[in-house]
Amino acid sequence: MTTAEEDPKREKLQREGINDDDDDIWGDEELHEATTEDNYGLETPVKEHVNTSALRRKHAKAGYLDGIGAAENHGLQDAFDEGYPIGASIGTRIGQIIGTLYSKSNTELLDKARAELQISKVLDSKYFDGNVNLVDDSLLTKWEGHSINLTDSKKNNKD
Amino acid sequence: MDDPFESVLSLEQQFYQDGYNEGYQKGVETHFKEGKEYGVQTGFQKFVFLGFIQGFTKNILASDQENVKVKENALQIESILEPLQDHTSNSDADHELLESALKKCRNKLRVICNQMQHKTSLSQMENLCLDITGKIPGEILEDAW
Repeated sequence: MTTAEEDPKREKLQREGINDDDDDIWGDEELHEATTEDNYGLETPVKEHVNTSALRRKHAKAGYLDGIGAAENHGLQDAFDEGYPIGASIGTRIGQIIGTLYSKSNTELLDKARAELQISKVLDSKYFDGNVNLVDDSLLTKWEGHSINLTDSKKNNKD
Repeated sequence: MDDPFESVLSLEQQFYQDGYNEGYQKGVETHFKEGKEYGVQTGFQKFVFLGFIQGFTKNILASDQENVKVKENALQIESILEPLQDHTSNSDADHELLESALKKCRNKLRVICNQMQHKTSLSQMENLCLDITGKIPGEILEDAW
């Protein structure tokens, strides 16, 4: 009796999930390049038997959907917690600018700041990298500069 | 001897696992960005008023404000806010610290507004901050991101 270990061809087919009988029936012409839909769980498309493709498509697709669902439950909260202090830091700086201008009763500059420092403008994606880290705080430093200059000019006037 | 058909029989499981791993990875990437953006937005909305109070009181203390009582209250606000440094996480403990400090600060600010002969008011300050953050904290804004 020939075992799989002794028969390289059979061993290869077993790896692909096909037995000798299948080989006789389907032949090599049934091998095909995996389509996009077959590609779940595959880094690169492979040539495989249509039956194997069908099996892969069915089970890998189910796994893919379960995997996405599991990631949603697991990842959202962690990601939220990572972003929260970043937003807290930006919000604090914006609040300090507005509070300073308000306290100085500089209505002209305050109105400008209110328009420019709206949440939709401050959190514009152009100030963040792909991992949602603040990489450009020029808008904040510009307005921090305005409020510092106001303080300095007031001090100088007093001197 | 190993079952020669084991690899065939486990194909379904292997395909499922391959798909699961890919789906999980894709899900983590997608939801990470979405979740982090939402976290940044919420943190921003929660802390603008705190920053406002810091900027307001700092300027009062640096100003030529002659009312000693006003400056005393401003100093007390500073001491209330001081322990909040480095407590900006989304943990329950940090949330409690923030809410408790903001409540005390609001009371002090009301007193300051009275002492400044109502040249300013707490509701005016809060509305100014709401104008910046959007009126419903936690709601995803369409224009952001």
